[in-house]
Amino acid sequence: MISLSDIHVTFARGTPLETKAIRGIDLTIPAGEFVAVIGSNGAGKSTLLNVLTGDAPLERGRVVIDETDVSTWPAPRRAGMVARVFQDPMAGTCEGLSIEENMALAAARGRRRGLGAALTHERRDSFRERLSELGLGLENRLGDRMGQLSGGQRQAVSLLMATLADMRILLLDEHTAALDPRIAAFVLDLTRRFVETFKLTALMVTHSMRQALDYGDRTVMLHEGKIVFDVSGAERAALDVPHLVELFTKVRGEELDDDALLLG
Amino acid sequence: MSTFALLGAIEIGLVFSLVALGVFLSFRVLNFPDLTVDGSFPLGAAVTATLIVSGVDPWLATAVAMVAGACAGLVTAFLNVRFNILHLLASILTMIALYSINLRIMGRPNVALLQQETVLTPFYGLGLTQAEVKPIFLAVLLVIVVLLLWRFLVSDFGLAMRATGANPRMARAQGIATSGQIYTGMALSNALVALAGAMFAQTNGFADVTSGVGTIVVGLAAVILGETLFRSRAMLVVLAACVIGSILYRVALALALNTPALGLEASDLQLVTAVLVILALILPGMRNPLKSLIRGNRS
Repeated sequence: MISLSDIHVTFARGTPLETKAIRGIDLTIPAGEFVAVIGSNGAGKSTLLNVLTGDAPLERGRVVIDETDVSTWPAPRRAGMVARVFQDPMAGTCEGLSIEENMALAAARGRRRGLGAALTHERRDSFRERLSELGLGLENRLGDRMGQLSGGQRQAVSLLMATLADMRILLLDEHTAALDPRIAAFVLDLTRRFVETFKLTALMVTHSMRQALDYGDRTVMLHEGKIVFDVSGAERAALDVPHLVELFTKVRGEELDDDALLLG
Repeated sequence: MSTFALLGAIEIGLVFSLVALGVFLSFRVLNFPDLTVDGSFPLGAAVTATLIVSGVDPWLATAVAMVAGACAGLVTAFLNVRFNILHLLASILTMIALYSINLRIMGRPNVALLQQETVLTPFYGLGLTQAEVKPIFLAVLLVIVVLLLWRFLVSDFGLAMRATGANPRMARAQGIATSGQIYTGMALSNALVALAGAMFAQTNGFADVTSGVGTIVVGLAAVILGETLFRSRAMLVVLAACVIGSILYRVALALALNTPALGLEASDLQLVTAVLVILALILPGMRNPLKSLIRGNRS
C-alpha cells in the first residue's frame, strides 16, 4: 500500500519564482490498484510522481510505502520499490547502450551491482523470451543500440524493463504522450496487460480524459496542486468525458479552457 | 627509422596507452572531461621515483603511486559532485594544485632513477637488450590491464558506470548512486594515469615535474585515433583500440620526426598533437569525445 499524507512541495522557495507545485495532497493507493491521474499543465501531476520517486524535495508530508516511511530516502535508494517509465522515450533508456545492456541495467534495479558479468547466457535467454512478448521482433536484436529503435519501440522496451525487477509501485509519466495514436494504443494495451499479469500497483499520469477513464480502476484529478476529485467503482463506470469536464468545471467553479484535456 | 627508434616509439606508446585508457574512462564512460591527468601523470612518476630512491620496493612504490593518482581523481570528483564545481574547472584546480604537490614530493624539479632498481630490473638479465625488454614488459602489463578493465566494464557495476555517463537520470531511476560511480570512475581513471607516470619514470630513468604537460591531449589523441580505426562497440575491441591508437600515434610521430624533409623537431610534438586533435574534432562525421565539453552541459 502506498500512502501520501499532507504532501507539500514548493519550488524556488523564497524567490520571486516561488511555485507551490503541490499544496496538501493525501492519497492512499491499496496494493493492486491502477490509478489514472489527470490534470492540466502545472496541476502538479509530474511533481506528484517525483514525490514518489524521491526526485522532488518535500516541504512537508510523509511518503509511506508498505509501512516504510521513505520520505527522506533519495531516489536511488527507493528504486527497489519504485519503477518508472518516463514520458520522453530518450529519458528512460541509454541510447548508446544495447537493448540487452539496458535490460541488464533494469533487471538489477534496486539491487547491489557487483563485479559479476552483466550479460550471462541465462540472462540473455530470459531477455529474449521477455522481448518476444512484445511481438515487435526485438528478440532477434538484443545487441542493437537502443538509439536505433523507434520511439514506440523504446517505450515498449522501457515498460518491459520496468517489470524485470520487483516493485511496489509502477509510475507511468504520460508515457504515451510522445507517441503517435496507433503506437500509443499499443503501449497502453501493453501497460494494461503487464499490470494485470504481474498484479502491479500503478499510477499513470495522463493528459487525456479518455485514457483516464478507460484505463485503470480509479481516476484522480489534480488542479493547482490539489486533488479536486477522486472516483472509482460504479461511480467511475458511469462517467464519460463530457461528465468529467462538467465535474471539473463545477468543482473549480471556472471554465475549462485547456483544449489539451479534451483531446483524445 | 631504425629498429631502436621504432622500439622506443612503441615503448612510449605503451606507456601512454595507460593514459589513453584512463582518459577513455573519464571522457567516454563517465562523460567527465577530466584534465587532472596532467597532474596525476607526473604525480605517479614523482611518487614512484621518490620512494624508489629512498629504498622502497619498486612494486610497492608503483602501487603507492596508483593510490596517489586515485586520490587526485577523488579530489576532482569531490569538487564536482559535492560542491557542483564545473567538471572542467574542478579538474584544472586539482591539476594546478598537483604541480606544487609534486614539487613537494620530490623536493626538487626532477629525480634521477639511474642505477636504481625498478620493476624492470629483474628482466634485464635474461639475454635481451633493455630496449627490447621495456616494450615486452609494458605489453604484458597492458594485456593484463586491458583484460581487467574489460571484465570490470562488462560487469553489473561497470554497466552502472556506463549508464551514469550516458544517462544519469535513467541511472538514478534504476537505483544507481551516480555520485558513487563518478568517484569510483575518476579514482580508477587517475590511478591508471599515475601508473603510466610510474612506468614512465622507471623506463626513462627519471621523474620530472613538467612531464605532465599535454598528457590529456596525448591521451585524447590516442582514444580518437583508436576509435577512428576500429568502429566497434564491443568493449574489448574499444579498449584494445585505445592501446593500438596510442602506439600508432607514437610511431607516426616518430616517423614524422625522423623525416628531415618535414623539418619537425622534438619540441614541436605538443603542437603536432594539438593540431591532430583539433583536426579530429572538426572533421565532420567523426565521433567526438569532446562533444560534452563543447556543449558544456552535464546534468
